[in-house]
Parts: sequence; structure tokens; C-alpha cells
Amino acid sequence: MNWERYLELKRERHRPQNRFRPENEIEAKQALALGLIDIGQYVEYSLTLEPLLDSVHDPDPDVRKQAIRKIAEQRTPFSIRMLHNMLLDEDEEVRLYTASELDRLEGEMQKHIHQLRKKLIENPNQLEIRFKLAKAYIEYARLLLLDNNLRHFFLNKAIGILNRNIALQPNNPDYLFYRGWVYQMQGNYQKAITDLTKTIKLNKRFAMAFLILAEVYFELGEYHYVKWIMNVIPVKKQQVEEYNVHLYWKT
Amino acid sequence: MLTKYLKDVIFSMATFFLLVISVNIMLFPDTPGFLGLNPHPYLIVVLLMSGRFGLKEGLLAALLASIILSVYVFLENQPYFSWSLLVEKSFLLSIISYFLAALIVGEMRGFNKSYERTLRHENIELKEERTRLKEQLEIVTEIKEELENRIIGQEETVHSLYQSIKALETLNEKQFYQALTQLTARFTGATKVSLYMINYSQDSIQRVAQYGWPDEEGAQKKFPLYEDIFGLVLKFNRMLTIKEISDDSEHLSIWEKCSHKAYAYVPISMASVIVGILTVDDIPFLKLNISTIRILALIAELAVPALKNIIKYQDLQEMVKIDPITELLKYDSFVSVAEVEFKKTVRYQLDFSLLFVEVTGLMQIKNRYGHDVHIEALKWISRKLQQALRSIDIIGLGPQTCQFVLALPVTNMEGMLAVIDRIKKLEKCAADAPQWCKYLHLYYGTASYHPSLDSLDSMIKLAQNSLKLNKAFKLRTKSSKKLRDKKDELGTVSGVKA
Repeated sequence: MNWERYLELKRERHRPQNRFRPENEIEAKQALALGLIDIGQYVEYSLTLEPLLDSVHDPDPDVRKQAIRKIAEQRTPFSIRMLHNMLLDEDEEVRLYTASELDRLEGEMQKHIHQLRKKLIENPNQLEIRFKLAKAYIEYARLLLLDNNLRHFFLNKAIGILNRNIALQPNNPDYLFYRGWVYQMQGNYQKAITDLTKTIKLNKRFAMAFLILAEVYFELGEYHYVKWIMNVIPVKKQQVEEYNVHLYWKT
Repeated sequence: MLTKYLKDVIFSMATFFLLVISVNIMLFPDTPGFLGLNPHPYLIVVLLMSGRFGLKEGLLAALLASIILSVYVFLENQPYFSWSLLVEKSFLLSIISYFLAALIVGEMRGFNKSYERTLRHENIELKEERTRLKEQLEIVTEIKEELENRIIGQEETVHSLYQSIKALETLNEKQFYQALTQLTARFTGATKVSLYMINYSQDSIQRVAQYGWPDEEGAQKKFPLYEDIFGLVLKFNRMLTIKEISDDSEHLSIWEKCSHKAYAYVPISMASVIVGILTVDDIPFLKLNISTIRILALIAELAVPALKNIIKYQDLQEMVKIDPITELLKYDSFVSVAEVEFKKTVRYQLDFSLLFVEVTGLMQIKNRYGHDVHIEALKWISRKLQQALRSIDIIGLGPQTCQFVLALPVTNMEGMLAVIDRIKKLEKCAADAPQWCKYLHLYYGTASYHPSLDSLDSMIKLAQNSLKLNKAFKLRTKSSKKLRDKKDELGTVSGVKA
């Protein structure tokens, strides 16, 4: 920690007319922890932060690298799509960083799958490991596989694993939810509805199940069902994206 | 109702006294009430009570101990009891010791208790502070998560969006349309976006740009303006999303029947007149949310200045005298420039020639290869004509489409024929001649200056007449040649038959 800067901040604290302005995100967090700025000021500051996509073209190479890494770390279909778009960027360096980040992500996921498979060979009856492996397949297929056939292959593998778990624990909402989700991704909507409805019956606080079920009805064009689900979904404010969808459809 | 504390005091006092009395009865039956014993064992009860609870409780224990002791004195001395027994030295000492012990120890306990109370109070305050900080931390974490989500989705990056749209102002019309759809996709997460521009004079709406669609075949498709869903958007003059559409069964059935289904229709209004409609044709379910709707509205609003600039630019292009495709002077401007040259010719009695060039076959090229090739052909011809000229010559578009007109100062009839030869050579021998070149036919109309010609208009008329004659002659020659060929062909066929 930079103590000189800290003392300077302390001094500035006693000068109400000179409000402290953090220079970067880390400093803002420290200032908030020290009580130099309040939450309102922190929010105000954060909103003025340079958007991540703009940082991708920052003159500083470290900032560029960090921005691309942050996008990759989000691990959402949207961020991955963004990375794929960035592979066509005019800037060669951006293309290079993006490619290396995508490679890293793929490598990590494949390594994770490999480790889980190894564990499963050692403990073939471990339901939890099987479930983790199914989830890893789903994540891999959902995020990184653009080719439809390959995607279906991994999703089918996940269904196979989940089927075995469901045969042993037919009322486990987690297993049912993930199978329903996979069916939704494959476009097998009727099966998805069955699984997701059962999940909701078993756990009425399962917000994601509500959301995916709403998505299934959205894909089917049954918009009145979407609205109905969005009115009863137990979504929290912290889940920003889900909450925004809920706000949009809520009547 | 006894409080918990009071119950505790009564229970403790009863237990302690019963314990001492039991010990007395069981172990010392000869000295009931420990009479004559100093310090008296009841003092232990007083000490315990005052040490545990404080001054008041200690004094209460001392009083009870005095009463019990008095009762024992009374019972022990019956029937000879006299009140003087209660003022005996040993009895009084015991009583005084009870009260003194209660006072001293009780005070000490009282002090400790007040200190404990302060500490407890501080503890409560600290706990409250901790809870507050915990809540604050939770809020900050929530905000952080929210901000991170917003930043990654570019959902609240108005600044960035504004900059991007501002950048569109430098593009031309076509590029702008395409860029607007791309920008919408980038900022909303939509996977398919289209842009339609309205043509009120034809009551139609034309798809001018698409993003995310695999085939570009229907890119320039026209639709009737006041029918189906576009009619609804115009009627409501506001953004329509699938949510609002599905609220009304009639609207939903219109939407389901229309060929350009979209999840959001965003009107682009210029001075309260809708000039275009931006549609989000496909978007992930999670991305169709409040934030996206806000961004779409913002895009529609921010796109207007850029669009205005483009329209202004177009108006300016119209205003200037150069044709944007061929980059040649428009006919009117050509005439005004040629007029100057003609006047010079008359004044100095110089040579001056006018050459009309009409190109046929362009429509054939358009029908066969499409609009882009047609434009390319026009550009190619204008380039070739320019190549055949000197720097002092003037070239412009003719009064009719596919006509070019050349003013050749200081050039007589022979010079003009040389120019025509050059053009013919360039047309035929061009190394870069494209395959559609074979469809092109050039017809020439000429007029050279003669002192009898008093105006440029009369020269133009002469040149136009010459063009007509030339064209008619060539067409007649062509048709007669075709007829001859046909006859020959028929002859051959009949010959074969024979």
C-alpha cells in the first residue's frame, strides 16, 4: 500500500470542500473501505468508469490485456460471443490476446472435464462427481462450442449422465433442472417443460428454473406463459440481468 | 409477575440459608442457630448474596439472617426470653457484621456491575456497528456485481454508445444503415437486426440493411407501409415490443401473419415524422430486458442527428453540379460551361465541335447482372470517354439517360472524328474490358461550328439530329443484316432438306 497516498487521503478527508476523487477502481475500493467516500460516491465513480469494451483499445497494452481477460472471465455466452467478434478486430494485438484467452478458457474447461472423468473412474458411483461432470459438459457446450453437431454431442453426454443420476434420485431438483436446461438448448421444448415444471414443483425458490421455463415458452411463442412466469419468479435484485428481464415482462 | 432476576435472587437466598440451616441441624445439632459463634456462619450467606447480586440483595440477606438469628435466640431462651437478650454483645456483633459485609461487598459488586453494564453497552454498540458494516459490505458487493454486469454488457455505456453513433455521421448513407444495425447488435446483444426506411411518396417501406442474417437476398425488399405490423408502429408512433404486441390478441395475430417478425420495432423519428424502423429480429431471451429497451430508444434517438447529416449531405450532392456516379457534369451545368467555350469560339472565329454519345445495352446489363454492375458500367463508360479527351475538352451527361455530351474546343470535324476513333479503340481494345462490355453499343451525333450557327442551342440540336440519324441508320443496317442472316439460315435449312 502507498502510505504517502494514504496519508494524503486522510488529510483530504478532513477537508470537506475538497472531495477525494479516486484515480482507479482499486483506489476507489480502498477509499470506500477507509470511509473517505461513501457508497453513493463509489457508485457515482464506478458509473464513470471507462467501459470494458473501450479498454480493449486502450493505448496501454496492460489495460488492453486486462480488459480482454475480464471479458473472458465473465464466462457468459454473450461475453464469449463478444470475444469471437473480437477475433475479427482490426487491431492485431486485440485479435492475438483474444485468441489466447479463448484458448486458455477452452484449455481450462477441457482440463476440468478430464479431471472429473478421472475422478469418476476412481469412484464410479459418486453421484456428485457425475453431476459435476454433466455440468462441465453443459458449460463447455454452451459457451465454447459453435459447431452444432459437436454441441449436441456434448449435450447428449450430459443428458446420459443426468439420466443415470435421476434414475437413482428422481426428485432431485438440481438434476432435473440441468436436464431441462439441456433439452431447452437442444430445442426439445416439451421435455424441457416437463423437467423444469417438476423442478419448480420440488423447489419453489429455484429462480433459474423459472427463467429457463420462461425462455422455453418464449421460444415457443407462448408469450402469455412468459408473462405469467415472470410475475411469479422469485428473482433477487442482485441478479441484475434476470431482474431486468423480470422487470420487462412483469405486468 | 416475578422477573427472572427476582426469581434468581429468591432462589439463591433460600438455597444458601437452607444449606446453612441444614448443615447446622445435621452436623451441629447441639448449637442450634450457631448461637454464640463469631463470626457467625450466616455471614457466608450475606457475603455470597452481596457478592453475587449487589448491595440491595446483600442487605436483604443481612436482614433475613438477623431475623433467623433472632428467631433462634427467641426459641433457645423460651420461656425466659426477654428483649434484653437482643442487645447482647455477641448477638449485636453478628448483626453488625452482616450489615457491614453486605454494605462493603455489595458496594464493590455494584461498582463491578456498572462497569459490566458499560462494557455490555459498548459491546452492543460494536455489534450494531458490525451489522451496519456488514450491510454496507453487502450493498457494495451487490453494487459491484451489478456494475460488473452492466459494464460487460455495455448496457449502461451511454457515453460509448453516443461516441459510436457520433462516428456514424462520417459514413455515407449505405454504410450508415449497415453500421446502425451492427451497432444495435453490439450494444443490445441482439443476433439479428434489420433497418427499414420509409418512402412516403410510394407508401412503402424498404429493408435497407440487415445484420446477422445468413442470406442477403431479401436485403432490399420493399413492403407496403400501412399494412401489417409496420402500420401498427406508425399508428402508435412509439416502440413496440413483443410484450406489448402479445398484450393484444389482434396485434399478436397481425404480428404472427407478417413476414418480418421481430421482437422489437423501434421507430426512428425526425421532427416527429417516422423516417425509419429499426427491428430486433432475434435476441437471446435474457437480453430482451428493460436495459435493452432503454438502449434501443437511445439508439433511435441518437441516430437521428447522424441521419440528418447524411440527408443534408445528399441534398448538397444534389445541389452540386457533379453527378455522383459518373463524376461528370450534369447536363445543365455542362451547357453553362460549354456556352462559355462557344462564345469564345464565336468571338475569335475558332473551331468548336459537339459530340453526343448515346450508349445502349445498359438496361440489358442491369437485367442480367444487377444494379451494381449497371453502375459499374456507367462508371466504366465515363472513364473511357474521359480518357479519350484532352484536358481542355468538356464532358457531361446528356439531356437523356445513357447520353453523354462532349464539347471539344478548337477542334474541327476531322479532329472530332479522330476523337470518335479514339473512343472506339478504347472501347474495343481495353485490356480491362469486362464481360458485359459486349452488350454496349455506342452511337454518335456530331456538330461542328460554322459561322451560320448563332447559338449553342442550335449546335446541340444539330448534334442531336445527327445522333438520331446515326442511330436510325445503324439500327436499320443491323436489322437488315439480321434479316439477311436469317434468310441465309433458312436457305441452308431448306438446302439440307433438299
